[in-house]
Amino acid sequence: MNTRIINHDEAVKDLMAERYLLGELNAVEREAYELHLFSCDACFEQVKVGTEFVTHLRHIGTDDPQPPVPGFMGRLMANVRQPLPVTMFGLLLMVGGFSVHQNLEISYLKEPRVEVRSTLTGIAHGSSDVKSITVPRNSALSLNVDYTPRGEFISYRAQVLSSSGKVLHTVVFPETQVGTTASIAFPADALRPGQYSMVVFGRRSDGTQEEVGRGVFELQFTGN
Amino acid sequence: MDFYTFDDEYLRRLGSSDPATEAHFVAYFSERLRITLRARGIDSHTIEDVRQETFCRVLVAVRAGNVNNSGGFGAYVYSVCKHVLSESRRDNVRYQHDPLDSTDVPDDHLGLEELMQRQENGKHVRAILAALPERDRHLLQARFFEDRDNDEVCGDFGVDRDYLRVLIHRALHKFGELYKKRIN
Repeated sequence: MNTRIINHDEAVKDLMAERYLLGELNAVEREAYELHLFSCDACFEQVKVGTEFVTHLRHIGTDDPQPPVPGFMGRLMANVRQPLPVTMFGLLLMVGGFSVHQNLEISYLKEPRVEVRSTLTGIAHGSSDVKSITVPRNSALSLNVDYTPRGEFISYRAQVLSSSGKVLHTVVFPETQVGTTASIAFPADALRPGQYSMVVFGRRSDGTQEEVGRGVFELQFTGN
Repeated sequence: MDFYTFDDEYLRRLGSSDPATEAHFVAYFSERLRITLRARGIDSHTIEDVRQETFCRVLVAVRAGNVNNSGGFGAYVYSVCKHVLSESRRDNVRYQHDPLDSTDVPDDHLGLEELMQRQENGKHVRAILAALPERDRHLLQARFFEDRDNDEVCGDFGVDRDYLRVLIHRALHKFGELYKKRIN
C-alpha cells in the first residue's frame, strides 16, 4: 500500500499524537504517522512523552489520587468550625485505634497459612460444572485456570465474578506467563461463602476483548 | 550544522563505522522502533529481534552504498523495519506471543536514574489526575487502566471522541512541561 505523507503542521492540527495514543488511527494513517515519527523529532518527542504518560495511567488504576490540599483559607475555615482541644483528642483516639487495628491486620496477613490448590477444569471449554471448594477460612486459595491462547490476543486477564455478575477481582497475567495454565492465589476469606465465576479474557491489539474460558466454583469454609 | 543531520556526510560516517555516528544511529532509531512497535502490541522479545535485524540490514545497505537518499534515511529505516516485522510474523505464525497487557514493557537496560525518573513521572501523572475534574479523571482511568474501547468509554461518560482527544491533549501538555522541566 502506498504510504501517505504527513507534514508536521498537519500532524499537530489533526491531534495525530493523541489519536495515535488512543489507537484511533486506521492502518493507513498509522503507517503514515509512524513514518513521520522517524523524521520529525518534535512529533516523536510528543509521542514519547505521551507513551510514558499512558504507561503510568495504565498502572495507577482506581486508586483515587489524594485530593488537592486545601489552601490557607480552606484550612482556616475548617479549623475555626471545631473546638481545637476536642478535635485533637478525637484525632488522637482515632489514630491510636486505627494503628492498633492496622497492626493486628498486618500480623494476620503476615502469618503463614495453608495453601489449598484447586483446578477449575474445563474452563477453556466453558464447562458448566460447578466446582465445590471447601477450605479453612484462614487458608490461601490457589485456583488453577486453564485457558486456550490464540494468536490474535496480546494479553490475558482473569476476573472473579459474584453470582450476580459483579466483578470482584481482576488479575492481569504477566507478560512472562507461558503455557496454558495460570495460577491465581488470594486469601480464602477475601470471598464470602457462595458461588463465583472465574472468567478469562483475551485482549486484542485494537483493545477489544473476548472471553476464552469460564468456570464456576462454590466456596465453603470448614467449620461453618 | 547539526552533526547528526541525516545527510550524505552522516551516511558516509555510518558506512565507515564511525563509532559516534553508529552510537547515534542506534540510540535514535532504537527509541522510535521500540515505541512504534509497542504501540502495535508487539511483545518485547520480538521488538528486540526486529530492532536488531533492522539495524543489521540498514548497516549492510549503507556500507554497500545502496542507500542514496540521505534525506529520506528515516523513512528508509522505517520501511526496513516494516519488512522485517512482516517476515517475523510469517515465520512465527505458529507461535503464541507472550501476553503483553500494556505498552509498559520491562526494559532490561533501565538504570537507577531511569528508574528514579520513571517514579518521578508517576508522581507527575498522579498530580495531573488529581487536578482534573472527577469525571475526566475517571474517563482517563476507564480508557487506559480498564483498557476499554474508545466508543464504549465515550458513550458511558456522555462525551464525544473530540472531548476525549482534547482531554488527552491537555493532560499530555501538562505532563510534557513537567517531564521536560525534569529532563533539563
